[in-house]
Amino acid sequence: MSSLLEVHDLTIRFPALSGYAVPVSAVSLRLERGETLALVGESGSGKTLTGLALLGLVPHPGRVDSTSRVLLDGVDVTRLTGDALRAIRGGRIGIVFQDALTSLTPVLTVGNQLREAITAHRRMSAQAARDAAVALLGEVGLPDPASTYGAYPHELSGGQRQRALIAIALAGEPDLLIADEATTALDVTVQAQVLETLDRLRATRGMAILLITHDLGLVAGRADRVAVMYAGQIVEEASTASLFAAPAHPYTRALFRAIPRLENPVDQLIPIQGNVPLPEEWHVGCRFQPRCGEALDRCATLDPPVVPLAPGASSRCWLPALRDQ
Amino acid sequence: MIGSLGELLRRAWRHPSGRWGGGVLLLIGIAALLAPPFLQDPAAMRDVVAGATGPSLAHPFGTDALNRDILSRVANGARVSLAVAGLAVVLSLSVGSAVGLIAGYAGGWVDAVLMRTVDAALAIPRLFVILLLLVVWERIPLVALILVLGTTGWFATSRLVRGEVLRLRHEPFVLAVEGLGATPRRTLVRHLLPNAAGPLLVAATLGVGDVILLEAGLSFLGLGIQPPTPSWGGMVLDARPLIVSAPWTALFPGAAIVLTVLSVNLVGDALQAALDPRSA
Amino acid sequence: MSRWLIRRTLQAAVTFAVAVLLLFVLVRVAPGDPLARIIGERAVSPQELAHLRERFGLNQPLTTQLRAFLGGVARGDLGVSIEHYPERVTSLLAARLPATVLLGGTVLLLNFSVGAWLGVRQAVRRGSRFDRWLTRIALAAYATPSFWLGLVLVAFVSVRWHLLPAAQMTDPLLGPEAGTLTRALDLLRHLILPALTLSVTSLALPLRHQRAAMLASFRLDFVTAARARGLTERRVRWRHAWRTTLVPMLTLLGLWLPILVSGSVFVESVFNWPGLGSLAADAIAARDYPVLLGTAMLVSATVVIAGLLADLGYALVDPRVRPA
Repeated sequence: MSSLLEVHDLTIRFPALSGYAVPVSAVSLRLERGETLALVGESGSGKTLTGLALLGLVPHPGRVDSTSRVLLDGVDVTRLTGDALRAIRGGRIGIVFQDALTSLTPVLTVGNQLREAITAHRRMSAQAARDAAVALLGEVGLPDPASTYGAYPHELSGGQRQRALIAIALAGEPDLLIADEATTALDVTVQAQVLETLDRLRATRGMAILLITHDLGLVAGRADRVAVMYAGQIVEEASTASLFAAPAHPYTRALFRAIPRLENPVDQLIPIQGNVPLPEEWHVGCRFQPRCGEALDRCATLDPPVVPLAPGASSRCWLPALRDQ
Repeated sequence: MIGSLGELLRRAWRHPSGRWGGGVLLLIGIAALLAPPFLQDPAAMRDVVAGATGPSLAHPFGTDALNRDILSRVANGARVSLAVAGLAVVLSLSVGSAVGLIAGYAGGWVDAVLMRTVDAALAIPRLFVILLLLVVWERIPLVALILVLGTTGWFATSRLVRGEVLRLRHEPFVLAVEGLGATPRRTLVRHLLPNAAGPLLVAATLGVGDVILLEAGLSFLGLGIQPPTPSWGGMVLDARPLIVSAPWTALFPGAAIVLTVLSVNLVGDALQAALDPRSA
Repeated sequence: MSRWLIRRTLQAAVTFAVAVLLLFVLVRVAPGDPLARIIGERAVSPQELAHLRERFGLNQPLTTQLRAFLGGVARGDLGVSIEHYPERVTSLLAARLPATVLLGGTVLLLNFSVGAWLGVRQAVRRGSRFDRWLTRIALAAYATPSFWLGLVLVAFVSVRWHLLPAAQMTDPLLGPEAGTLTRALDLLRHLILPALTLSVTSLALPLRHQRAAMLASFRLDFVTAARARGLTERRVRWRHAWRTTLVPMLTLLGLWLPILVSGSVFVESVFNWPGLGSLAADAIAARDYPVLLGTAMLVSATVVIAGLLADLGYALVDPRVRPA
């Protein structure tokens, strides 16, 4: 049985002042039904673009390379257009964006937008759609679904809006839900509640979740597997447990050093020196090399290989390759 | 300020609309300047009885009811129209900038009173204000026409400049200059005003187009440029009874208006696009 | 909501009052004697002159004149026409208003429906030949003087080709026995050319505004989000993107009235359309000050009301704007 989602060599290209910028290069992912995969990276790593590419929503003038393949149950999404693509959007893959206020149309009520999303994928009468909408609002944990139904986005609180956005993403009963920094803009407590809701929904609906986030802390206990992204590339992939126990890639290790841990309090957090390079600045060799404390000579000039470390785990780095020799 | 203006013009020139508009405008300007020496004096009426004759080698645009060469009248009309429009716009910009600077800088009740007045003035369509002012004269002196056109077109400019002043009022560079002891006038003129240069230039260019159309309309109503000075609007007025029998008498002056206003607007558009590339 | 409405209406009233004041100042400040023309036209005896001066209150001190003027305006009395003496200005305005409303309303409808639709199309097909050429044509049309276009249309469409009537609003030869449908069709036939002239020469504004607003709307996050839900492109375009452009378009509607009114002075004059515009044009020729002033005031009032309605429109269209 093939995976629910298979991404092969996803490369996204943008025309730039001198040639092209390639914010996403050769990204490969795999997601099984009911699984949660976390895609972790800083802002500028290309993780949002990756998520958008799964829906064919890469913004103009960006283009997905013809060699890229995004297979949803064997069907290549990047080759779809028109009605077939629209059926996928919301119907097979749903997406929850970071800022609910700007992601909801301000001039329409929440209920209006939800009902519209429902009828886009399921045939039913207006009344039935309305009932389904209210039910869905209740399912995402909104205390007063009926009043939320008639409210405009700006009239709701941040947490309520985010839940409404989740409801809309679920309207077409998708098999895969992309949560793109879905809780970043919320208070910590609300964040936890919303994530819990997502988890519950995943269990009841048997959905897979692609959790796009910059926060490693969110990942623990919620994701089955983690893919770490840096400068448009996947640099490490592993199960959550093994990633947290023994991160293989220097970048992942640096990420862990930079976040506070309750069990091992340290006096100083060690931030990663330097800044995330812009797509125009990427060059040959390892992209993390300028900031890597363990870099070797060859890292600056030779592209590191993707080294398999265990079943389902790999690291894009020269270090494990050399260690084996 | 000159540097950034130069940059603006250079960027505008890159736009095809800027090149077309600028090019045509240049041609019209040259034609206007060269008119008197090279083309016949329109006032020298030849054989009046012959009346309007169609385009020919001798008269490329034909002649009007009084057998005056239309080409030379159109060219001379260009001089008058462009001069009137240019002067009127300069006047509008000056008054508008002054009011905008004062209102934005002074703030408080001065600002409130000035802007309320501007609001009220904007409620009265510009044409009507002009009509009320011009109707008193039997023969409208050219100076009066320019003054009237200029003093009725500054309202939008004042809002624009005021906006810029408000935006920059509390910027560090302004506070620094004031801290160094600059008088309000100096601050306004040498530091705040140059920042509005770009939008002002765009407004000026588009304003010239509007004034040309306005002046043509006034001349058509008999309230603009007085005969026998040739004006495009006046020529269309004269051509009205002949429009069916001698359409060229109206066609050429009208085409001149369209061409001139269009090229002016194209230049204005190119400047606008150079200022704010996203609006293209 | 009603409190905001009252406050806004009061604001509009103040603006109008200031406008009226400005008009008064304008008229009194303008050099020359309003009656000079009449004196020039006919032989007027000193007594007649004195009587006229008194009748028009021109021999009173300025403050008395102002008070009388404002009092008159408040009462709805705008004085008496000089040319059509002793007809009242208000009755003249009232008689001509419907024709202008018909013409202006038609042009407004045309420009904001066709203009909006074309503008959206341009935005969707940004950079295409359609987009570029439509902009050029609209700009050329905007640069065209309405009086000239009107004359050209009359010369060719009416006189040469006999397709449409050349002047006026109705066929004077239409007898009383003609039915409503015939009258309506006749009116329509007369309406086409003047409406087309006014519409074409001012289309560039709503066209460009709609295009720009639509392009801005397409960049907003919720448009991508709407697409991500699997909605059809048509739905996303109209129900989500276009609805957000209603506010900037309403702003234009409020600002557009002065342009429409000014244009109608020329167009109505060329087509002999019996509205306020031609009334003003005739008043210019006759130097009929009270009528010109009255027309200016009426038009200003309309502009102020239009602005008020636009504000109300904002609240209707964009729920974020509604005062709690």
